[in-house]
Amino acid sequence: MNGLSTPGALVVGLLAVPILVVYMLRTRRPRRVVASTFLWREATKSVAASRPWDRIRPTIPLLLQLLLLAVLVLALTRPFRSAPGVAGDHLVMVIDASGSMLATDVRPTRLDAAKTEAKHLIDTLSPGAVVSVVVAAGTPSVAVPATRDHGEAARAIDRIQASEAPADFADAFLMAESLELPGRPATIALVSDGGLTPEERALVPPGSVFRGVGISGDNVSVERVETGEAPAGFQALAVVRNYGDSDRRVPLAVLRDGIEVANATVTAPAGSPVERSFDLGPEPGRVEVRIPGGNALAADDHAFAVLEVNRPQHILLATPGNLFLESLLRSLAGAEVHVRAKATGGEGFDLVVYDRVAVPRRIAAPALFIAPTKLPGVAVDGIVNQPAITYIAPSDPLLAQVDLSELSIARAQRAVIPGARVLVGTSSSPLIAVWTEGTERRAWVGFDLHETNLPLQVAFPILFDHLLAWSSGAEPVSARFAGDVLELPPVAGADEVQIAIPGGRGATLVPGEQFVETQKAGFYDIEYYDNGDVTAERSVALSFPARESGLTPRDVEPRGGEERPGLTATVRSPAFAWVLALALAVLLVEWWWAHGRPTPARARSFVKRGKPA
Amino acid sequence: MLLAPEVLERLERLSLLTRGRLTGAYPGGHRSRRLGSSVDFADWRAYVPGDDFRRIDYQIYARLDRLLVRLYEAEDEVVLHAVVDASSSMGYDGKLDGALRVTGALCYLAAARGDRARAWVIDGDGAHPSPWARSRDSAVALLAWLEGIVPKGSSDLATGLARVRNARGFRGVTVLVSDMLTEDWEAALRRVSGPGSEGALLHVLARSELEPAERGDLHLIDSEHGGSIDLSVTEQVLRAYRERTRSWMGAVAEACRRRDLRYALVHPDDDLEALLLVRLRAEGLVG
Repeated sequence: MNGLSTPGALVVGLLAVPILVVYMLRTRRPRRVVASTFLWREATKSVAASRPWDRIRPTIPLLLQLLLLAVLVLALTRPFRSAPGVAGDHLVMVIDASGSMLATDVRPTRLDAAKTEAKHLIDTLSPGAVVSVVVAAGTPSVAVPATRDHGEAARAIDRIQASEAPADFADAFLMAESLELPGRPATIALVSDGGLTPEERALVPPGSVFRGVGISGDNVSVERVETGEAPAGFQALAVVRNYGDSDRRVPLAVLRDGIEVANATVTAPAGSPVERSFDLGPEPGRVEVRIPGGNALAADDHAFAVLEVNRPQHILLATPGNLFLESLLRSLAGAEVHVRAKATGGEGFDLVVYDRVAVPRRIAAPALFIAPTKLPGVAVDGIVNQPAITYIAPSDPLLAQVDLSELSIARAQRAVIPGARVLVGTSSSPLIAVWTEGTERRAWVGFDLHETNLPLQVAFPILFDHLLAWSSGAEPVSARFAGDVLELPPVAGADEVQIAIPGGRGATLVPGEQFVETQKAGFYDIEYYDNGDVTAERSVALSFPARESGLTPRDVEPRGGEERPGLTATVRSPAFAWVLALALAVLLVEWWWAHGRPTPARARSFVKRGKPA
Repeated sequence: MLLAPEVLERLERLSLLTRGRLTGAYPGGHRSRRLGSSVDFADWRAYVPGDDFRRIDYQIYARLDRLLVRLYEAEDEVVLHAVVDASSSMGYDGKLDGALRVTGALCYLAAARGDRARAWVIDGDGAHPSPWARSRDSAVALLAWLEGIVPKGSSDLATGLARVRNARGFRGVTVLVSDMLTEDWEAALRRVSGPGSEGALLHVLARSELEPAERGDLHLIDSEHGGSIDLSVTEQVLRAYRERTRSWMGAVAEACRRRDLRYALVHPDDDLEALLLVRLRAEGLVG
């Protein structure tokens, strides 16, 4: 909305009347240079007497002068533009830099639109107001802590780059609130496409304002690629999801080690996923499934997976008898299962499964414990009858595709496992947990498989497949995504790990650390070194997170409950400078028209002056 | 070159004419007011001691017993002063070019016949004389001098002509070549001729000045004085202008007649030979 600060100045526009009168009195005549006016003077008197008034002719100079007057009157009225602007004197902006902000439904990208919107908000600040910028990416960061230099803030915003990982809004909001001065609430503005989970929406600072970007949710993505081993070799299962409103035929190309080995076209129904499997042969390698061409979000047109033998081959099962376990282990491709009633240390085996037996103190292989009667290092202080499951680790890759909603347990051990990663638990005890001892991984299930309905569920083979694979040091077969943490399990003898990140960068870590800079989808090559020699190597594939492929822009309703300065519609941007610049331009044109414009008469005059008679 | 060689060749057949006898400094081809030693008898006068005995008319002495001396006509050169107005107003529509051509032609034909000729240029800086010309070669040099003339400033014709009269020393023919577009044109005409001399005005006007093409509302700027007038050029105004121009030209011609000055109207685009052989011959300036 626009307006005038001093509309009374419009009265000055009456000056147009004397201008018109002047033009009526005095006609601007074309200039002609003649040899002498000696003979013309007699005629002058009669003409001057015969036409004291002249009718107004709409000449260019007259129009320019009236325009100049109009512009000056406009300047005197002090026009202003009224636009939503920041009311407070401290603006904290949280700019979404997650993978969905790479969408190109607004050109060039949503992130660029967000930057423009952020800089527009800065423009509405009063001089001297403080600006802070928080980048909500996979690893949130503060781009500008608190500055009165709005130019610096704008430059920092220009430098923001989107990651392909989901944004950690919880941390980003925490950072934004921490930038507020005590007792002086700031205006917190979230600039995003609204791709927040319900949990993240609940964490939006009360009283924040939201500026949305994005116009369309239309998108098709390769959501993930999962691999598995079949008797004939590896298989890849590609999941394609259509986020649009109508069914679409989607072409797929499968690349193995960079070479296209298969292609297909699938019909993806609107809003639903569709799966397509591909046989890829017995050789290990890397597989990429892509959608040729492009759509609103190019980054999710690829999904990656690694084909590797990640199952233990020689397994020792120490058990008094467990049909479920024996059947499961024997079904593993290529697995050789040795069943013993008495537990041993497992020398020479890839994996030892201890089922309801006493575990020896020294174990020489990765191990899976199922309700062990005795386990060194784990204190079992009782039995829980019909434990209520209160915790299932969210987004833990070991529980990917594992549906435990129907899980019932009759009895479980109540144990304390220091340093364990709890996957499933009650309020007082873990039920399923994993941990690492030295260079070996351990998995623990705190209940007898005969006292639960787990073996009867689909989740049983999937969960144990993940646990067996993880225990033996392999990555889970299920797809992993950008933003996931990469664990670097210790390898005997290795003292250094080097990771090649997609895009060319690299990082060096110590075995046992976690690698968190997984902001980009692709293949991460991991090499373990022992005094400079490579002792082990493997690849991990991270795909574009499916959560970021849902591009439908959503509003984030601000929560109440706390007073913060928000946006106001009464911020006035004076247009005085623009009006004066326009006036100057009109004045220059008028001068040029009157004095500088090349005319035939001026050209003749120039020739006469320059040429000797 | 101001005048082509073939034009110069034809000019040599012409000569400068005078209405009466003029006294020159050197012998020439024109009858002088002085008595001299030509073959043409003029008169007798009484002998005074010191006269040449050979001039005593002994037949008269035998018949009348009186000593009379025979007198003969003298023939002198004619001195031509061609005065060119080189003010800014002459710079339009080729007026100065035409004026310089006819000036050069008059000087050349006079010098080629043994008369002395000199051109004067009056411009905003005053009156400037050319070198004398009394032969073909010196006349060609004078033509070259004329070629360098450009219009400049506002000329004061009356003052310039006064300087010409003071400098000329000997009486002769003064030809003023000008558009006369000045308030004091009558004062200028008064200084063209004087006792013992003859004068002429070659009135140079462009045809566009007699029939202007300007129409409509105009802001006219005087090229010479810089003054300006606002004018709405209508048919009525044009009629008034033509009437005023005719009246002024008539007044100039009448003033020339009163002062025994020969007058000829010259347009810049006039054919030079036609101008000399027809109109100036009719005025008795060349023959």
